[in-house]
Amino acid sequence: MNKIIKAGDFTGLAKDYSSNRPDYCRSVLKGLLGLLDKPVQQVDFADVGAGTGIWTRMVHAAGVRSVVAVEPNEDMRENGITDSKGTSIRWLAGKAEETGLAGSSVDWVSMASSFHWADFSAATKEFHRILRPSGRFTALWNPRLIEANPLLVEIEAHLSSLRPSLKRVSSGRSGITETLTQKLFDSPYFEDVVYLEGRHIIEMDQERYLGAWRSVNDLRVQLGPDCFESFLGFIERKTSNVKVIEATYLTRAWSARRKG
Amino acid sequence: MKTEWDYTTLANAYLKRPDYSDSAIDAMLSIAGIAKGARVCDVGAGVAHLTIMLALRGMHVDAVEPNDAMRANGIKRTEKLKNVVWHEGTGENTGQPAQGFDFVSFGSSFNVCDRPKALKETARLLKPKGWFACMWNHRDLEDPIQARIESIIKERVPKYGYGTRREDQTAVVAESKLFGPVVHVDSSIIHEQAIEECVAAWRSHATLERQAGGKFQEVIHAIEEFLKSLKKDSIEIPYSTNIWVAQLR
Repeated sequence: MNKIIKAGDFTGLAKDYSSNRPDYCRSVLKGLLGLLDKPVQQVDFADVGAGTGIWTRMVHAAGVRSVVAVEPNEDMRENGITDSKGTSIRWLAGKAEETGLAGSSVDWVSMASSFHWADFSAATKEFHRILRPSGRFTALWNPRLIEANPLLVEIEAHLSSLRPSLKRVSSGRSGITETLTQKLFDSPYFEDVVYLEGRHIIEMDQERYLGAWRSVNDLRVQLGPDCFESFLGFIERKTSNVKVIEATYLTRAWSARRKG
Repeated sequence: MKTEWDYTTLANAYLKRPDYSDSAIDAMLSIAGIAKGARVCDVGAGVAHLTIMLALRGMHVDAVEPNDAMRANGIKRTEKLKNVVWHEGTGENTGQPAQGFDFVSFGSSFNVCDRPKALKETARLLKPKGWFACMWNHRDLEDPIQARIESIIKERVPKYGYGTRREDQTAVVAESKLFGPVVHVDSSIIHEQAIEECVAAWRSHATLERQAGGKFQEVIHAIEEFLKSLKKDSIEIPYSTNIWVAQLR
């Protein structure tokens, strides 16, 4: 859990995460369900690095048989439990490399906006262990497509001017995603890699849009608290007369079938 | 029916073309929520590669193909499938009834259509909230054997290119304003092919034949020499099936 505690410590962000982060493209979810070798109602599903359960609850709502959410961070997990009240989702402490789930216990395991924190070979080995034969592992992200909205381009440009050397982790448009198809293809544990991509527009009011920025973990760390607050102030001014902020998100998903 | 791009001499070689990825087809149908018994219009059905995959999944398929030789092969390959009916027609003018279909597909054929016109025709064919899909198998050109073949071609046909069949189709679908957000599926497959079949596939390569003109035979000969020099009975060719899917607004 080392990685989670240092740069990726999400403690204190959970509330902003839970209420403001966007969901994922529904068409991509439908496509991913169609890749499983059994009807949706018979699928046992595990979501690892579930965070506050945004993706977990989408899959639950699609009508799978059982859902277990595994999340190492207590704060995130507690928000997830609160937000999942009234559903049959089970929450457990655990991590990608060591989920704590029984062998051959699920048909589908996913990591939504979290696989970049995992150790690739240890996690894929663990997923192979918990999956039933011909089960599938899915890694997905939902980066923003800022190009679609000039206001968002301006905000992003301001961010670059504050800290030209800024490195954004995750996002699913760089880093791990550039080589993921090949890595899964070469993996001893998985085969039949399918990539799905779909976009959807989320309309946010100013409060939710600011909340989404507050939940960006790596940005707070890199800018430092003062600079981060002044950046939020800039966004607040820029969006004060805007009723609805249209943000386009691109859901990018990789689905691979368990070997053997 | 005569069309701008004539496939008559290529019809037999097209039988050896690889099928689309099963997983990609499953994901596509799941995105569109298409189940058994759904009505599909498969446009530019050729020798029935996609038609058969759809028919075996329980769809009722109206297959539309302008070229007589291609259609004849397609009819022969689907003669045992009661849920396939063949028609003469093009992507811009299918001759099919308005609002008659849940799904309209273009298997390796959207690029030879006037795409905006084909999208209009698709919108006419679809029932409300029906779905459009176009797809191609793309060879992985970074694979060493495929990379060598590409350079053999480019040494003789310097301006050689694949045009719209390798392009992202998102923009052209979005510009039509007829469809909702485009979903893209990309699934890798390995197609094992005997060297002889591989040469035959190049002989059937319409894009190459069009662009190479008088040099076509020379290029095919050079590719054949190269493939035979590998001293193998067959090679593994990595492909990816690329599908773009969108719902009628």
